[in-house]
Amino acid sequence: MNRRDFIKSVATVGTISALGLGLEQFIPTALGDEKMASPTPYDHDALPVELRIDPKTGKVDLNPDIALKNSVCLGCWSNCGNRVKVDKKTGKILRVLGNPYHPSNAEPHLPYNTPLTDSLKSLGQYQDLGITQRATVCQRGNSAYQIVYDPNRILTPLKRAGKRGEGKWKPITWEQAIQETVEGGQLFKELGEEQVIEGLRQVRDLNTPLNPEEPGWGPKANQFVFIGGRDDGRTEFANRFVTKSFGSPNFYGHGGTCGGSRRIAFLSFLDTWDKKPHMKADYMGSELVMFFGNAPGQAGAPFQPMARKSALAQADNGMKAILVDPVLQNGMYTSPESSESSWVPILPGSDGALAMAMARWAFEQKKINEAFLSAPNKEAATKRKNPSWTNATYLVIQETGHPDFGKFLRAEQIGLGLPVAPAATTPANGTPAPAPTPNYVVIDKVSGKPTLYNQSEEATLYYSGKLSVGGSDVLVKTSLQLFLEEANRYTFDQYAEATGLSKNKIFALAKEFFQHGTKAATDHHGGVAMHANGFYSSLAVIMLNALVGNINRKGGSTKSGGGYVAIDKGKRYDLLSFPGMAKPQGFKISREGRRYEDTPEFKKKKAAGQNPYPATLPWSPIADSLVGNVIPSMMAGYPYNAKILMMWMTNPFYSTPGLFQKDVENYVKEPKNIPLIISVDVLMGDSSMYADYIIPDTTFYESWGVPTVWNLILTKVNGARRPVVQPLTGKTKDGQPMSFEAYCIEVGKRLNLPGIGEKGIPNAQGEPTPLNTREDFFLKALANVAFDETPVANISADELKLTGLNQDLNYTASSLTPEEWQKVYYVLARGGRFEDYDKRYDGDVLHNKFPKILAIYNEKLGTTRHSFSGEYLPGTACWQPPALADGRTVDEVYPNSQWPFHIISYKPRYRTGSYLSNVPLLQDMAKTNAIEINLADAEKLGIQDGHSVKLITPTGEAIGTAKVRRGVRQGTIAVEYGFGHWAAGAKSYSIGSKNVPADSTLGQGVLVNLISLRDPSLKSPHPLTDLVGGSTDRNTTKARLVKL
Amino acid sequence: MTEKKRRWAMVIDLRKCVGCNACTVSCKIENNVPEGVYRTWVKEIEKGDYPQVTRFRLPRLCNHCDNAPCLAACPVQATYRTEDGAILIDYDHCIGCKYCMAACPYDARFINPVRKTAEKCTFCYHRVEEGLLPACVTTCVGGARVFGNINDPESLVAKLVANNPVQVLKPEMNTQPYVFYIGADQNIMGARYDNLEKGEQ
Amino acid sequence: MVSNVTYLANVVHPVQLGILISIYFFYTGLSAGSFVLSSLGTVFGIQKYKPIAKAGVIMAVALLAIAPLHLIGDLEQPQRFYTLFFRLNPHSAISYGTFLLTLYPLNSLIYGWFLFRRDFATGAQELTGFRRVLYKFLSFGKMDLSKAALAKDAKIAKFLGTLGVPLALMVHGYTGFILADIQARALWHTGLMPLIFLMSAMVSGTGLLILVLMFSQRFLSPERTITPERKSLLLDIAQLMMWFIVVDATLMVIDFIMLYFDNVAGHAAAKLFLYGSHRTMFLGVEVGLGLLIPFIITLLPKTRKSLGWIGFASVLTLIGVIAMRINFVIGGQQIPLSADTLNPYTADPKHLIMIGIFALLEITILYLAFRFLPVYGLPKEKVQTEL
Ligand SMILES: Nc1nc2c(c(=O)[nH]1)N[C@H]1C(S)=C(S)[C@@H](COP(=O)(O)OP(=O)(O)OC[C@H]3O[C@@H](n4cnc5c(=O)[nH]c(N)nc54)[C@H](O)[C@@H]3O)O[C@H]1N2
Ligand SMILES: Nc1nc2c(c(=O)[nH]1)N[C@H]1C(S)=C(S)[C@@H](COP(=O)(O)OP(=O)(O)OC[C@H]3O[C@@H](n4cnc5c(=O)[nH]c(N)nc54)[C@H](O)[C@@H]3O)O[C@H]1N2
Ligand code: SF4
Ligand code: SF4
Ligand code: SF4
Ligand code: SF4
Ligand code: SF4
Ligand SMILES: [Mo]
Repeated sequence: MNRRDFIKSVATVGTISALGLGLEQFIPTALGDEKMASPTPYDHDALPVELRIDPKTGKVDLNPDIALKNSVCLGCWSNCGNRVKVDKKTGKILRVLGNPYHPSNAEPHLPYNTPLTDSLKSLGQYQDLGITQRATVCQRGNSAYQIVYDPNRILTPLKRAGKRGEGKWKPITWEQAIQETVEGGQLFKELGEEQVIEGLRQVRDLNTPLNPEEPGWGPKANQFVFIGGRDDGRTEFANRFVTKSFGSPNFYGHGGTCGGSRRIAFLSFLDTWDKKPHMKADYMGSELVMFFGNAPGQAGAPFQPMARKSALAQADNGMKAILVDPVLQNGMYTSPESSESSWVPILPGSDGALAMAMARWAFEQKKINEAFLSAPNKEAATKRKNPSWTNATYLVIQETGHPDFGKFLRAEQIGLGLPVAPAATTPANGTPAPAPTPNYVVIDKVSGKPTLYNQSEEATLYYSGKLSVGGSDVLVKTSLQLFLEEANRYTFDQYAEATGLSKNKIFALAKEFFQHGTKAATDHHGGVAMHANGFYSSLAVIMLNALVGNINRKGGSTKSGGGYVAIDKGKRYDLLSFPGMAKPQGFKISREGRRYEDTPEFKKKKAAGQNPYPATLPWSPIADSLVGNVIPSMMAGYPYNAKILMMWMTNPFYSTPGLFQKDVENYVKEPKNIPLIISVDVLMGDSSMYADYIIPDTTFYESWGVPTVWNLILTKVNGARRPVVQPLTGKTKDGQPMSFEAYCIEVGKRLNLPGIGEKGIPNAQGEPTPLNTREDFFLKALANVAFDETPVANISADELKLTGLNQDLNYTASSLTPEEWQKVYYVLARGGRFEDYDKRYDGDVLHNKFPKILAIYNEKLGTTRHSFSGEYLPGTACWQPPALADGRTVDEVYPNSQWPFHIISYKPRYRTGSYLSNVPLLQDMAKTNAIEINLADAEKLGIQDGHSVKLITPTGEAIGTAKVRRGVRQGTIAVEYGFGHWAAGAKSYSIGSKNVPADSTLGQGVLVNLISLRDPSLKSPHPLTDLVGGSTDRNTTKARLVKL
Repeated sequence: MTEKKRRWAMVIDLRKCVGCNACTVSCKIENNVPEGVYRTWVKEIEKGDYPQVTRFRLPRLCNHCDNAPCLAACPVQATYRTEDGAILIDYDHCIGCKYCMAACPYDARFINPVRKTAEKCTFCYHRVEEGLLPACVTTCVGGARVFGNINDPESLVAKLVANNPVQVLKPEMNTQPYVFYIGADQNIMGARYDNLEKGEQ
Repeated sequence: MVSNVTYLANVVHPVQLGILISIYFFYTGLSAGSFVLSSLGTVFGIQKYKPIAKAGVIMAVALLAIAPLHLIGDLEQPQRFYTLFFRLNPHSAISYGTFLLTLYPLNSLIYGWFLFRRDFATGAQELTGFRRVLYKFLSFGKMDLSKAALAKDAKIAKFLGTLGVPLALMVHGYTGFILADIQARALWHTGLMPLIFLMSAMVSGTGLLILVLMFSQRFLSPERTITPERKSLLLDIAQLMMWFIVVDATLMVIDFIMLYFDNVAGHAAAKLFLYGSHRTMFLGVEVGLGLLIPFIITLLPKTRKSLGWIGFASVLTLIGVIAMRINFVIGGQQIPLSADTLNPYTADPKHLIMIGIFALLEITILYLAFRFLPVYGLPKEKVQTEL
């Protein structure tokens, strides 16, 4: 009995005797004492405060029991900064705050040289700094730390102890996991599986062709297929291991299921295929942003800055947000006085039609920015104060059958006199001289004659005519002419029908958009891109920015500040290349990145005199990361099948629309098909449950990473993620926490792979330095960051003391030189390196600009053939409805008369993709999703909120709960993604004799991916895919809805 | 003139609320609020006839009323008012009679199923007393929530209230709330009665 | 009122004061009603009601002894209930209620004692065995049976009874008042609420009294029968009940008219009860079974003379008033304050068990009291041998 209980019992007796008197003075003193103990200003259950700030003087007093560590979130793939509040005694995370230095957390973010103690004031009342310097993390950033402490985390390696997917596991040692996955053998003999499995050693063969009859497909090493997540600041480590050390081209991020076609459309517009830039609108400077899907505050990348900037822009700067989306998502503020909504409930998959219609209107109404588009080169643009320029006026060969069809006309082809090119100088450091710019031709506005692009000040925008090329008349058109013709291909009535919007609505939107000039911009992501026509729709939406000429302008389109040199060839270390680096050969299993015309199949057919079209399965030459194609290719054995599948930070069976049906599950479950599946995961995920081996990994609070921010941030960003808590995973023999990196490094050492071990990383002088631990890699990347451009300051003694970084990290002291450490500490203390806020703009243009020409017409695109029809792809934006590989549209195959609804999915607000479903705090926000339908549709079908309803699609059925909304397009069904798990806590499994029971709350809801469309025109099971941009279609599924 | 007494207040600028619920989640972590109950939440409403539909967000929490019915209702003085206007609950003396919950016009209170007492937003008094800000304010992604001393004319809250038309919830109750909204649609902030029994027939 | 609105997200706020509180209100109502009836003879000097004075006060005390258990049972921190006595809040109706709830049964107890003292003293002298001991003890040694002493008893009883009537009214009025006080809840916030509570208390109090009298007279009184005088008194009480019903119903009609033309929340509440999902509980059970049918029974010459019918009517009034308590307490909190649907209520099984136990306890107490206390005078000697 403690004191309080004692007092209570005394009190009870006391009161009974004082019963009825009700007078306090008669109460025994002990009781009075208890009364005095209140009021309780401190909530006993609240967290201890991290510090105290004097509201008058701003003096900061730290709570000595608590550490604040700046790091980087990965609650979603946005990589915002964070400031983690850690209990020093228990080493546990108490709470997560935002990092005020990081531009994703704060608007504006703190100047980089702000002393750390001053940065703490952003938590307090003093001078309202807690408001003006507020640094936030979102709902997921606040709570994602709970995955660290998930009771079912995988902390040691597991080996399958039953059939694949059966849920029987046994714990094995780290050494056994390495030994068996590397050396292979009869690994599952004890289960009666006699099959001899090839391990990483046998598969890592860079010489023997995987298919001796068609060696062109590449060596055996290609049969090691790796699927990873997207860029989280660790991915480059994985990429380096798979492609450069191991030598397999089959490294995948999740691009193809993420925003694939959008990215590829940007690559096409920016004509930059190596660095993969893409653009977003600069909300803060904008007057109007038209969001095609991608509502800020709903999802979006980066989620948090999008949400904040659009909110601030709307409230403080009067930016108007228009949301083109079948679902009325969050993120738009409409004043109660306003009589009109700026929501545009578009028919899914028809954004291309809307954008092309708006373009057509602008051409007709002469609202396009001709002054911008007619500048044929940078100098001419600069003279007109335009910070960017396009190839709108360049001539393209359009003569059917001409060998150069689709290519830009070159000056030499029409005998134009060329200026003398300066001698190609090879700079001392060995980087090759830049390739000479082709000699494009324009029709000069003044002379009206074909002129070299850089000899004209202003060129003709619209031209279609014949020029004499090599003696014959050849049809040429300007890029913009081609775009115009595409825009004019359909009438406004046709566009209206395609989009489900009225003509007047389209005109009104176009008028509104174009009247803001360069201060209007578009923004889009998965909504537009994740359709079978995603590429051209994306490109059309992007093209609206070109028509107003907003690129590189304040309030226009920005490629973002990007990052400093990190996992790259930097001032301190070369993390890009190393001696003995492998160069992947042959073709990727996903049928991407190379033309069908280069494949052994094409060549063979051609040689045999057959019509080489269509290919066995389609190819996507300009796309990448077609993760959705990987398993279907394996199943078809085309172009080849795989020996080892490794997954890390991904859940492709769950996250790929149209993939995981019975046939695929059966395929995956049969070890003969993919002999070895290794998954690196933190929990028993929906995909990992089918693995043979599971390697434990560190969560993002236990990992390193050097991520930049995807987009939208105008200044340079490099986050510095570091383990803020001791990893909970087991330790390897040499004391490393078990993790993905530790696994790769050990495998690499065992196989003697290049780029790993004592001589793993060359420094800037080319001398070898070690890559023995994960710290070796990431700290070296951070050294590059710290020394890039003007190196950062050394950390001060005070700040070092305040952060305790040298104590925290002393185990890894040898990774860097003392000189490097002083700067890396400075970076770590601030959670990264960040360019100052005032570097956003130079006057009315962006400080960090996209430096190259913009492609109204893209030559690479326009000279690529469709691998089924053999026809050239349009080289400019155009309207194409979602279609199958054989060209039939989805609506033809699944007509509205039978399939009256479209299902689209959108991102979960309280989850990230398939991830975070087991975070209790987020479970508390949403345990399940709903089948959302419009009020009118619901009334027609007699459906009310909460009714059980069934979705029927051409590929399957799903049962869920109805949610009746005003803000869903009529005829559309919206289902939030991220629910309907079959594992990740929702299914029981056993490890040795320990049973891990299922938690029935975790698997609730509907996953539309299980019933998303497949492409029935293909011979083997295959998701519906955008063959140009590579997106796996997730938003075109046709459906029926029945009330149960 | 002597300095006026400190009076805590919150302003929520709905134009900036993105409906992320970071506030809800952070509040639960900071204050160890058990599953299923919430000191703050964000009501979301769709208004209008298709396709003229707009979406409206309304973050909710205790209003720390000047004329607080909950305070009057509490028979054991477990609910009390601090010097600076915050309405708090003394968990050591709350008997859990729930009359305050019946009395609060705003649904601000709930029973903490673990502690077995009434509970509600404290304005994060334990932080505010240390010169810090409430958890929900510190993590407000859109920057909608602003907290401070409304009696200090230099404070941001005071300026926001002075320079904008502000709304409070159920002014007709005369509770004198100290949570002010900017940009709220007065017509749909409260309960909705026209379709009370939907889904029941 | 804007009607083209749909909620996407909100937090559910379940009803807090539930079945235990409703039943608590029911008990206090019964107690108050019984007391008032008891006082009709002693305080208001209406002779014909004198014989029920003792029965009334026993019921008043027995019911009020159990009533607060419901309240305490409903507390989340029941072990802290005692703090109600010394952490007072002058603005809180409950704080006053605490003292009313303490004083009223105390007063009733003493009042009752003075009504019974004569029997105790006599019994202590005349009876034998167990009862003698019991009555001797209960007389606390006050054996004076002189006329003067008895007259003094009657005087004190009258005084305490006079004090008790307002206390009883206040105890029950206050339960109505704690609801009426709450501006937030449209259904509750009316000045009529204490009156409505009072009148329904009278209805149910009378109903229960009739039933208890019938039962105890038939089985527990020395005579073991409902004598003709008793019957006529019972029928008389039933006529009282009819008038209580009339007043109660009138108040209810006024209340609902006001509610219907009140603000949106009030209007919604009225609609909920008149045509919404609560119409069965309200119009059917509370009004139909609980008021209308008993009214007809007590009105029609045929039925109003029949003990059977009257007993039936009394049962109905009890059901009706339980329904009324539930409708008002729970229904009043179901009208949303921030939501677009009714606030849900699910009875906690623990609470239902408590109610059952308390009811058993109540019946036991009443049984023991009527069995062993000289409610109907002292038993004939032959009765004693039974013991
Ligand atoms: N229907 C539909 N499908 C979609 C989408 C949609 O909106 N609708 N969205 C698509 C998009 S945009 C994307 S990006 C993809 C995402 O799909 P995936 O790339 O598959 O990524 P996640 O779903 O986030 O799953 C990540 C997995 O990594 C594991 N994990 C989490 N943290 C760690 C860690 O620290 N280490 C390791 N080793 N593993 C970890 C978790 O178990 C989790 O299952 O889904 C796509 N699929
Ligand atoms: N809360 C949350 N935020 C996230 C993530 C998360 O999982 N949860 N994931 C992150 C990741 S990996 C990514 S890739 C980004 C993705 O960011 P977004 O692409 O913005 O997110 P999605 O929800 O996939 O986008 C789908 C949106 O497009 C709409 N839509 C569907 N079909 C169409 C269409 O045909 N046309 C138009 N115009 N709109 C359509 C949907 O209604 C939805 O609003 O979000 C990131 N942020
Ligand atoms: S947006 Fe993503 S990265 Fe940023 S705080 Fe939220 S969960 Fe973390
Ligand atoms: S909002 Fe409710 S709980 Fe908060 S002070 Fe006002 S009445 Fe009390
Ligand atoms: S529940 Fe607690 S705070 Fe509320 S009125 Fe009762 S004792 Fe007071
Ligand atoms: S002020 Fe504190 S307690 Fe109140 S809602 Fe905000 S975080 Fe929760
Ligand atoms: S954190 Fe701020 S922006 Fe997000 S929902 Fe809460 S109030 Fe709105
Ligand atoms: Mo994504």
